Amino acid sequence: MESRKTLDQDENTDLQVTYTHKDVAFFHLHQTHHFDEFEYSSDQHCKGDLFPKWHLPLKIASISSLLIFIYTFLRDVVHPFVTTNENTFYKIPILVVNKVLPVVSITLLALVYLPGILAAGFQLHYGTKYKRFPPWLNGWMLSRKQLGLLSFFFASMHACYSLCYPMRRSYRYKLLNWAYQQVKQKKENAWIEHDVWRMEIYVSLGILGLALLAILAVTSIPSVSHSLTWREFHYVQSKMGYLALLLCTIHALVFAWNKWVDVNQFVWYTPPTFMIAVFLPIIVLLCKSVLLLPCLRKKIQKIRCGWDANTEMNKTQMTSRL
Amino acid sequence: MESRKTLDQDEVQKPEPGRNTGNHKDSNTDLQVTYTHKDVAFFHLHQTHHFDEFEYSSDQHCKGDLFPKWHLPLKIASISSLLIFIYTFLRDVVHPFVTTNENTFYKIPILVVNKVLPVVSITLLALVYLPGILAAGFQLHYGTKYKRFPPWLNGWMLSRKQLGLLSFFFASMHACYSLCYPMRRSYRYKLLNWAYQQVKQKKENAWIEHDVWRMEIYVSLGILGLALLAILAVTSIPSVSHSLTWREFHYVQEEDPEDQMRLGC
Repeated sequence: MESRKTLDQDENTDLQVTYTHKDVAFFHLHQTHHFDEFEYSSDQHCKGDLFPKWHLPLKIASISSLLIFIYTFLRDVVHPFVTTNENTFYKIPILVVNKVLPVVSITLLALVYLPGILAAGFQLHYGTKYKRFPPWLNGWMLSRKQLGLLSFFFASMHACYSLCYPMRRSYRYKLLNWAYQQVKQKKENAWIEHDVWRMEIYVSLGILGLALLAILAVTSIPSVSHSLTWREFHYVQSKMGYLALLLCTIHALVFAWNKWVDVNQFVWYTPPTFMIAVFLPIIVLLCKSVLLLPCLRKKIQKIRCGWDANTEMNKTQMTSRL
Repeated sequence: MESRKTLDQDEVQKPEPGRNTGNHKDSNTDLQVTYTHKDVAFFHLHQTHHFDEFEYSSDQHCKGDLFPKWHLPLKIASISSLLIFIYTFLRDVVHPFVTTNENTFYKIPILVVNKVLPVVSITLLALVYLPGILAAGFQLHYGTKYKRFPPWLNGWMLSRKQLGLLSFFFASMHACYSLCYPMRRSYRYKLLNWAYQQVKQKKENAWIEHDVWRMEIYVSLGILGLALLAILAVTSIPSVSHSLTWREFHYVQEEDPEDQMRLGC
């Protein structure tokens, strides 16, 4: 969601490229003369892309959604059907979809903060902020806002899908069957303490994570972001953003609880989806905590305040010659 | 959420909702103080030259506060949250533990938190409209609108938008927490235990009519109240509030909440 500033790079020119004279003129034309496509013949009609900045994030979201859907479908539906002839196809519309949504959401959120870490590493390596980023990193940095907004969108859908679980008929019939079993077994108390704690904690963390993501999304609204100072915008997007990523990662880890060591989770020798989900966020959070170490943090601050390792070396070379 | 007008003094329809016309109080200048030449210049500098903190050395860096208008509302919200949390924790967790040795610590993450959120939310919402009432009383007492408000009342009036937005934030979180109740394992296990007890007691019908009515009504009212708060919050977005006339903005911010109060928030 942080697109107002990427880094002090030639992205300035990249950002400026998006708003050429032609685009501004076209925009004015739209607003003042109320043109529509029927005024032009089809070959005169503007050939500009629709939502150019959203192409990369949407491609990433679509491809990962498809992959996770197929993965979850094979593990949760096909595997029981093939091994024990159990029909769990009813799980597809809500349960399988609600495994895709959080995984894609947390992956997109991690992809918002990963380029910043790569950029910091790049600057540390070259000892300067004036060296141009590679084009792929530049493009990635420019899509962070869209990646973040998509992440929030998927997270909100995940919340809605999760909240609808007890509303479904499948849950009602399961509950009645469990009640019947409990009476048959004469089991007076169904309470499992650690299971209760697990769910209370991860649901609470999930809601808090979503609340932070909502604040990030609101500050992305153009009029709201323009009413903030750069320091305020950076504080929200950077500090609260990492906090949201941390809360969502802990939410996933607490959901997992002891499933890491549960053999039944490893269907057809494949890892459960939460392991795939938390892998990238944990890498991002670890790298960020490394970059927060005083020695590295001070060096990055120096570089970003204009210190250049190359000119320092040239200076010392010149003074040594004198 | 109403910071564009402090008091409804001259109900003059203005083409530019951002202006304070007809308000001759020094709160006008207070509002104007927020947008000094320095701030405007700073804002322009931000927008046109793409400055960032990396250009400055740390001692040249702007020392302005972060979110100055939010300091008072956030302090009020934090302190009341903490107090209500401790109060609820003592009553709902410590008391059963101390009296009957019953372990209800599992209630802390959701049930205790979901008692804090609505209390803080409705308190903040009341604090949005209380200064207006005090200001009206002040004006009635002195019989004039030209006498300056006390500084504490002035500051309070200027924070109403932030208080209202915080109230909506807490109310939305309260809705999420409430909606997640049936999803939890604790609820599932309780339900199964109640079913077991009911079979043991051979009780055919668990229905309690007044309990059903109570919940149906208060849940419905809660959702309607949240919907109205959402409308208030949306009209606080700068681009939206600038597209409204002052009369429209005032209607939403003043008249709608009266309907809300009637809904029994």
